[in-house]
Amino acid sequence: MMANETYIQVVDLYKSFGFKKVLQGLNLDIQRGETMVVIGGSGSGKSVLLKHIIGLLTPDSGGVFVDNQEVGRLNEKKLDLLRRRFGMLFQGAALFDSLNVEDNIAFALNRHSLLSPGEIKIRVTQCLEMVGMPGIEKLRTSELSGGMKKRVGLARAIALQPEIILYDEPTTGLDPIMSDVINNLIREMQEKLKVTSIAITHDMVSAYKIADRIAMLYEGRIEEVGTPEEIKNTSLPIVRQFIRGESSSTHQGVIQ
Amino acid sequence: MVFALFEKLTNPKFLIEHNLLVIILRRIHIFMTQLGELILLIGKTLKWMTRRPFDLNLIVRQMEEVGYNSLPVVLITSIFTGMVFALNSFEGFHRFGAESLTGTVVGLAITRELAPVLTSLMVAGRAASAMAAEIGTMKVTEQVDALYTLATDPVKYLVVPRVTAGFFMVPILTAVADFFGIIGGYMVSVKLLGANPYIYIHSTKSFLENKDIIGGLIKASAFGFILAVVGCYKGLATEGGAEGVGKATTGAVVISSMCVLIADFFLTKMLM
Repeated sequence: MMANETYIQVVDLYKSFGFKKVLQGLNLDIQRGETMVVIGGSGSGKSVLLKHIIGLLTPDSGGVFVDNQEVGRLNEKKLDLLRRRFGMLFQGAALFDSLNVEDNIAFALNRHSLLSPGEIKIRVTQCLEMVGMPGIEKLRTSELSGGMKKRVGLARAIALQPEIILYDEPTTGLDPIMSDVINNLIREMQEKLKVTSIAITHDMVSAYKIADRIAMLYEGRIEEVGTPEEIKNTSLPIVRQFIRGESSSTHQGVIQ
Repeated sequence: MVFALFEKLTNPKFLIEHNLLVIILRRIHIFMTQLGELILLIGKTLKWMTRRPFDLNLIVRQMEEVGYNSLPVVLITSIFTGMVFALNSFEGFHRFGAESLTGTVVGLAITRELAPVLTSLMVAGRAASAMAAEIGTMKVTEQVDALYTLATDPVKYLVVPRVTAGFFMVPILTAVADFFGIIGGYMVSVKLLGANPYIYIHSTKSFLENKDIIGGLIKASAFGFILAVVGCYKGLATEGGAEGVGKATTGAVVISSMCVLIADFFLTKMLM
């Protein structure tokens, strides 16, 4: 792994939905092998940014470059090939409820790998062991708790051995202990699999724990990028306010 | 300039202050957008139908859902339609002593029109709604996005099996409805109204041509395709949680039923 090699580059990204301007000239560089955590308030466009990176949304202007390929301009086939290098963990895990745990994890393997059914089974077992949930292959997704769903979702995301893992609010809706389990897993993934990770969250405990660098998204732009230490000691009022969880005087004004 | 005008025209405040014409134009705009999306979906579906991998197990599962599971509904609908149609025709023909034509009219009406259309409407109510609800739920729980991230096009994985099932199963159901509709008509005419069984069967057979039956089945295929595409389209276009899924389901039934009835006229004309 080369250090300081820009792997994912978001350049001057603009996106609006109707009259709502969500991203307004967002720039962000992500190095190969690092874990970048994007923090920001609810509705600040974090998910929208993530969906641009994996090509679920196309930008109004600007672009996302992954390994020097512009995601928004790839044809269907090339985009599919690029997506196989990604794994994504959704906020609600987004497991397919028509399939059991094993079929969920094996989904991409069944469709895109040349592995035999026996090899796929082994890989599924490996993935489940990696997320600390061995032996639940035959459970239905409706039988899983929130934390279990996330871990199965992560197992599905890593099944194709991705180079990049995207985490959409990995700890939202989990109790503090389960959050810590997920945080540890994210760190482990990075150490064991050497993946590049992008996580979006508003959970600062999680952000400090998993991030190599943190970027603060505010009003459609990146306000500040830095290591967790730098972010903790920031001089920018907006960032300081967010990481300390203080509501501003204007917000109080609205409430009153 | 154009964008500014559009922004002004679609601004809610402007609409309230000004006249309804804008609202109507906006509805037309939405309708045309949806029609365009639907046509694009049809194109994508046809394209993916011919590409590997062919998800045979998914297709079989949908065939079971659309076809086999719709059998009871289609059976009851067709038997009673045949029965009531015989009852009414017999009563009508009785007025000018032409009761012997009942078999002919029942046979023609069932095979050409009633079986394909009623079967399709029943399947629209049962299966198209289920398609919209299932795909809609997948959409709002990000499972559709998850398919993309696993490098699988939802059209390939979700739409193609359902449309294929609709295309093949609705004509099969229609053939069943043809048979049971005619049986229903026969039972009422012969057992209840005392028509001569030999004459009834003869009058059914002698005027019923292959093209009546085949024409009905061709229509049924087209209806099956349409209702499945509409059901899937409404599912994929779902926005906004449980309420959105409810709206998509209702919309799927209403729109696919209307599309079936509208297409019925044009197909019947074409097949003449």
